[in-house]
Amino acid sequence: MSIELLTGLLLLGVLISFMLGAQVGLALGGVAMLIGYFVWGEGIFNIVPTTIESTLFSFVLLAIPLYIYMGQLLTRSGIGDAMFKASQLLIGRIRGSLAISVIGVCSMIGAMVGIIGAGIMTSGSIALRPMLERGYDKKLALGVIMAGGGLGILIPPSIPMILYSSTTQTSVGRMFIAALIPALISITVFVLYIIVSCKLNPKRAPLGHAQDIPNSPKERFNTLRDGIMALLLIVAVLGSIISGIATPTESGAIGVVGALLLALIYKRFKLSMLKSSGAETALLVSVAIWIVLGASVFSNFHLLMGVQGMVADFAAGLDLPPIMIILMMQVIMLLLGFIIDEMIIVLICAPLFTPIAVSLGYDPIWFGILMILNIEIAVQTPPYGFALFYLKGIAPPGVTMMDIYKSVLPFVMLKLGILILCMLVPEIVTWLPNKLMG
Amino acid sequence: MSTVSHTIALALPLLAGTVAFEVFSRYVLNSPTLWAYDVSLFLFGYIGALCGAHAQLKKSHINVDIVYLAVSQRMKNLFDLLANTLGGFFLWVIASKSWEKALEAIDFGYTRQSEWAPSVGHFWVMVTAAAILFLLQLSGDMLKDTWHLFTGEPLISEDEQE
Repeated sequence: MSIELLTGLLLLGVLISFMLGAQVGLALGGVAMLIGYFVWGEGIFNIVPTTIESTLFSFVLLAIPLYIYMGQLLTRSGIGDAMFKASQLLIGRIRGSLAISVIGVCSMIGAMVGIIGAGIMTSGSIALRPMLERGYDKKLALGVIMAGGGLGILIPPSIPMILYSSTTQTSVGRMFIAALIPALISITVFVLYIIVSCKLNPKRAPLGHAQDIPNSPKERFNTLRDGIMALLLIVAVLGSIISGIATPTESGAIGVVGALLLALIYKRFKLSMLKSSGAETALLVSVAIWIVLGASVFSNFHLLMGVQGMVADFAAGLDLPPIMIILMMQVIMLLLGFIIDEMIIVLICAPLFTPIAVSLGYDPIWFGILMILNIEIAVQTPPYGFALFYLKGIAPPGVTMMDIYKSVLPFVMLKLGILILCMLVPEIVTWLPNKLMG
Repeated sequence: MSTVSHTIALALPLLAGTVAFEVFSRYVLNSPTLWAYDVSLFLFGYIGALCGAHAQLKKSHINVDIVYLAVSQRMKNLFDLLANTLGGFFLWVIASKSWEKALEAIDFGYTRQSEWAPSVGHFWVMVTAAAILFLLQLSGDMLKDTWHLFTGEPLISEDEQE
């Protein structure tokens, strides 16, 4: 069977199983193994134990339970809320202030995590409830969680960036510095969108949530103190990674210990909190792991069948100007992002596309940042972008997939604009690393 | 299922403690551990795999519900039956291949390729158990769906479920 036909069959199988409402992870793994059985026979099942090993013995993925656990502890101890209350104390009189705080706070949390799935799940655990409780438009609340949490792979330290650098022999430091200006542009654009959107439709973000702005000086002091302590925790986690004291995974554990210490210091610690946080985290981790497992089996099977060769032949056969080839690669990565997760896209596309981009005369750092921006969009694009399912996992029961689709669209369009801007003006990406590192 | 899940959830403080202790041991005691890396990965695997069945019981696994929410209850039962058959097939593959690996690991004394090199037999037994538990939960759901599809009545009333 040709790889083109096989790819078509796989996509059709996934579409049908998703339409039936199958569990995403089981559906991806099931479709791949079923089609694989008819193409290759029983031997294809040997892909399963090797994939289980690479998924469950991944020190990178180990960051997921630790950061989600930290998020759950922060939520239950009330410290997560304190961060938002402290930011409300500063900008609470602006319409949409909570959503703006979410972009800031979630991008910091997302940055600590460095993986989109964990970023969204951690950010959502902390920030979604306060916004919905205060009467924010459901679509705005979900959209900002996705936008803020998704920034995690663009703001250093970012796991996909490390993977890109390791597969293309480019400098991780340059990648991190190159991402700073696009990240800053993204945050600014999101905040501007929230301000303009709430100005045009004030119902999206009701003003006057008095409970957010404390009255007495003592309450104000306590709110500010709690907010600063929570911020210090994030700085400690980020600082331990940037200074090289700990890996991102180890920083997650430091974050858990820090969250517990904060809860103890402020007398918010209860044994039941530890238990309920653990149970909720275990459930969320399991949901994420079964998705990663199924998706990895699907992706590994597709790679084994030769999808890389198909993509390379396709690009080489096109008689197009260089920038159109780059554009074509972006479209391919965007399409891949609908069905596979960000780390797998980097691992598939970076070694495949980067040599072609460099041979066309482009900077590999610029191409890498475009890839990261692209993946951030792809995994959040309806109907099958992976991050959408992570958000669904932490959303309250009343939130449907359609709500999530509608919520992410404006932010996806904004991110697409930023991607195109960076593609047309490469200096946005290359200026800072060239300035600082020569 | 929930007993397994709640017991496993207790491993989370242990997991965070293990990883944090490694950092403490490296910098404060100036003596990195050999075991923390493998122990934390095993704990992660146990938590991720074994709670899958409980997540199914709680209907927490993520699905695309656009078409699903728009169809009648009987059609939902039919959709669930087809989807769970596909999922069950994948779980069966996981269970059977993991069991093969478990027997192989125990017979030949396979260990992790790390400095500490702990045995991996228990890990593959655990993955087999996790897939079977998940499969049992899916089978229970399929039984309920089949009953509802043919009789139009729920097999277990909501009161009984609570």
